[in-house]
Amino acid sequence: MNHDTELETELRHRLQEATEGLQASPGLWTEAERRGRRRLRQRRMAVGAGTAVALAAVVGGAMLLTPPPAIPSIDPAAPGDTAPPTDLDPSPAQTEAEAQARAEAELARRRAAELEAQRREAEAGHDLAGLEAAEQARREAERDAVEARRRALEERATPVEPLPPITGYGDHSDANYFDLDHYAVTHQTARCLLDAGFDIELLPPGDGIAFLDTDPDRLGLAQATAAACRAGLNLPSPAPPPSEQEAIVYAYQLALHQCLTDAGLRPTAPPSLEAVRSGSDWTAYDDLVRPDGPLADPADFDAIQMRCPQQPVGGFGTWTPGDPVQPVEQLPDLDR
Amino acid sequence: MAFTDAVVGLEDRLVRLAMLLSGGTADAEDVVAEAAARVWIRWRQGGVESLPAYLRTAVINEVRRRGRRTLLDRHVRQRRSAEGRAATPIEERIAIRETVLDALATLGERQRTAIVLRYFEDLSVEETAQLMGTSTGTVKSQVARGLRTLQDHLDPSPEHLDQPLPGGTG
Repeated sequence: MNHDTELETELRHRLQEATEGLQASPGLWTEAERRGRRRLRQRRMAVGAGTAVALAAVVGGAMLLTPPPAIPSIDPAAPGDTAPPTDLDPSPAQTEAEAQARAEAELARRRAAELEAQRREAEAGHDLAGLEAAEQARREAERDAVEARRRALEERATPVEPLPPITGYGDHSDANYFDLDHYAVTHQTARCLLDAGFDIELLPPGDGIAFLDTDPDRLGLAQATAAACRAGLNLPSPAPPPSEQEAIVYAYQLALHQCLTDAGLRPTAPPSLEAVRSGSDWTAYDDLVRPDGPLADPADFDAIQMRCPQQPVGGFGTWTPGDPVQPVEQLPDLDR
Repeated sequence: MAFTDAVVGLEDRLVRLAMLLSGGTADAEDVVAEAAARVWIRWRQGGVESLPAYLRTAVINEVRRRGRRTLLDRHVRQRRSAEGRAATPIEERIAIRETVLDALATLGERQRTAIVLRYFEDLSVEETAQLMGTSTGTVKSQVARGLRTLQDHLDPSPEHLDQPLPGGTG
């Protein structure tokens, strides 16, 4: 046996030994899914993200703007009891996913209440560091609670049959997906939904729609109507950009990186175009939308979205590589 | 199937991988949670054929993304924890881990990744090259150089390997 083989054997042994006993927390995958949902909502209309992302934004905005009725409180769980409580709402959960989301909402609400008590204690004791930490954690817990309630409603939405296309708000049958002006499409969809009787508003920077009506029985109908409105616009099918246009998308991300840097943020350094082409899913916003990142507060996220929108105003058909990112000055007025 | 059901049983191995890949410089659980969040989005849209493979790749990418920015933090934490008092059995157990992590931390990111994938994940040179997006020749040279460096930091017959672990099985 030569020396290298002994070393390799020793190394295998050491690596295994060094990691022995290291176990993941029980809630790791739940935490991962929670982060994924948040990331999905915040990335919403990023180029190539597709319908699922747009729908998440449509549904997600509602709960941020108009919180649902408070969920009745329940008896505190025994210490160490991680089983989800089931009696959070007078009406039974319709699905397991809804029950789980309700339980998460309640646990987050409790955590927020505990943190509020800690915050007050720190305030009384003039513990500025503790005060700041508790305040930040409390806001995070409250956001988690809102997000979980939104998911509960989403899981509960009553599915409805697809509706026929609603026309008269625009026609994009001649457009290709890459050049499509998603801001205009969103505006047209919003007007269509308004006319259909839904209470909505545009989300900054104008590429998403929030339903203000939180009645879960209307949510399924709202989703079906949104789909009918979009179908009536004769939109081209979503497709990843062809290779020659990947470079344009990449160039916009570089411009976006500069925009975010100029705004005082520290976005992730861009990979090479080759790395992006070979599968890297990098966007300039990546690390900024982490739960503990600088844009964790939705108000901050919305503000920077207006200044550095994730896709060019007017669509990629109007943007030339080398141009700076154009901010969105103000959301369009939905009144005719 | 729910995501949490589809990935059950993979968590410990991925956390260990994250710890080694980062040389102990990153919060391994946070790395896995962040990596899995990205995979979850793709999985939800039906774009994941093999969750274990996707998760492993995502963990590698997430460690790379974070780079070396927390290297200093770990050394500071180590110094603080060692100051002014005798080590407890648990700390001695951790010290064994730290020896390996210290050795890994002396490697460059590419060398460390190649070493961990080859000798912890037991991947072939070809599989390692595919995951790292490089050639087999590069992997071989990264591994050879990494081994030479580690040789200076890992005593091949340290006393602690022949002794019962303090504080039980850990």
